[in-house]
Amino acid sequence: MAATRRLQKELSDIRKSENNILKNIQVDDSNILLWQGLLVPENPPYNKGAFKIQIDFPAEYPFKPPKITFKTKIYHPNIDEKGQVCLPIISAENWKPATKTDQVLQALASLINDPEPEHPLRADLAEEFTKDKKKFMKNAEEFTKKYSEKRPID
Amino acid sequence: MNLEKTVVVNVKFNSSAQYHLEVAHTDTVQNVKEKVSLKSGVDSKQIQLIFAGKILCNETQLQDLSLGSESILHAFQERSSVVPTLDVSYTSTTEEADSPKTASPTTITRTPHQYYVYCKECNLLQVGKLRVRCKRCQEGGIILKREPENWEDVLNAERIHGECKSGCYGDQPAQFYFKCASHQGDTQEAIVVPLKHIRPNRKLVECITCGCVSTPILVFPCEHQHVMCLECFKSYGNVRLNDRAFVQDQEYGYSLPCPAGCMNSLIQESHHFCLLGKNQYERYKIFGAEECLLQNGGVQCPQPQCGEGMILDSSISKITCPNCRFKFCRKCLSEYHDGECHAVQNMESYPAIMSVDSERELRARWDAESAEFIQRSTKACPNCRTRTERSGGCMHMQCSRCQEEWCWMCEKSWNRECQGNHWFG
Repeated sequence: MAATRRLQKELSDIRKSENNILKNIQVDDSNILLWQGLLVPENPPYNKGAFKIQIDFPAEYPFKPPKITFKTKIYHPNIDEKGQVCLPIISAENWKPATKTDQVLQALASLINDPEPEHPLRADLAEEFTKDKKKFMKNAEEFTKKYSEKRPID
Repeated sequence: MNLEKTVVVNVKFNSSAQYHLEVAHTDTVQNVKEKVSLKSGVDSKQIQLIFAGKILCNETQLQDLSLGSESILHAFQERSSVVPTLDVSYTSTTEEADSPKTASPTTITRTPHQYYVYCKECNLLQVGKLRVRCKRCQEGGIILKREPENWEDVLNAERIHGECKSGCYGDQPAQFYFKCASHQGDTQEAIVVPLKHIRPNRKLVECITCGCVSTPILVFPCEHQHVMCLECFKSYGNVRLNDRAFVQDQEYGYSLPCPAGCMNSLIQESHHFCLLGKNQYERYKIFGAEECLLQNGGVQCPQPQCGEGMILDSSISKITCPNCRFKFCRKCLSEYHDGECHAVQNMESYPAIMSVDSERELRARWDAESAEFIQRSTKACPNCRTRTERSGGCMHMQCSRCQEEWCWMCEKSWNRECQGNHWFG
């Protein structure tokens, strides 16, 4: 199966790489289509914590894109209350089978570090982000402290 | 390995006599000429052998010609002793002419160029053999003026001429054709189609999607000539076909581009989609025909099991299907009705024409439940009426059939108002 072969390769490449965006990657031996890991953003207000994410690869991978969900609550204009994230690189119309998970994770990290209020999933947070950045930062930091996971020590 | 192996070949001599000769793989052309000489009484020095458009050199071994049993060689008597002989080595189209530079030294040796064909008798991808015959007399005794240099030379008629030695004599157009290597001899004429994007993976290039190295491979005609393994090509094609997400192209028909998103990368020959499997290839042909019809403003009969395609004047609103005689309204694609069409009308809102006991009416519905369910759970594309189910996400829909962008809330084409206010309902 193309999906298994490709994911095994991607997983070992990602685990080998030094500068890894996703920490503590966990993949069940019986199901390589489901990955979990910790995202550790660099920019405030999210750099105080770590966020658990889940990547679901469809059986038709890489001909259909993976889905990413946040398992940790996050105060972010581009992620909704259910943890759904709208990432153009993995939308059905933009997806290219040649895109690697590593690239997807890089796109995700940059979206988290620099929110895009022009394409929000949460209009209220987008509005706060553009109109009252100070308030947004304060709220987001408090939220991060309250709900996020501990950052793993390198 | 095959030192002891013998095969029977047919030698047609001067297009009149035919000899069955038992030959060994290690026999040379000279050996064959001597055998023909014994049978015909003609001096072997005056005999020339033609195979695949070339006069064969005396030293060439038969094993280099990839002959099967019952293969046909053409021989003719040449009285003048000056006969131009072409290069012996069995090279063919020179698309891979640059390969010796980059390939490892072991692969430069005399491996014949491999073609791949889809054999409609085996229903499989097979190694193919390129053969040539005189277009006029359909016999193989023709000496090519030049060798084919690319696929255009092979696939387009009359680009290359040759001297026919079989029956017509003189300058004649050459006709190339392919044979399935797993079929023996010339007696069985299986239908084979050359697959020009399939090649042996001599340069050991990785598949663009799974990263494995396998052979043969599919090479997309994009600038970078991206490579895909055949297993991935099958998944790629099937996933895209199930989503009806092929591209309808003026020149190449219903096709797929390189998955890296390269320009000008469409597969140029539809038989490559035979590799998706027989049933999927049938679906591919149906979808392709439908797509072509819809793009040209055609209409399909909405009756299940019919689907007849029609191209009609846009002013006609009452359509009678020429195949099943069903009369339908062009706008709502339902049975024809009098009066103005309310295309987005709900099933429930049809006026009760006859008075029937309402409970009995409910019990007496044939398959209405599923029709109602479809009505309830889906909405029709405002352009082509194809029903779409929304399983999640935003309100911005794109029709999988006609690519129309529309709004789930308004059931109209996506507009400025939707862009501003309707994303999430």
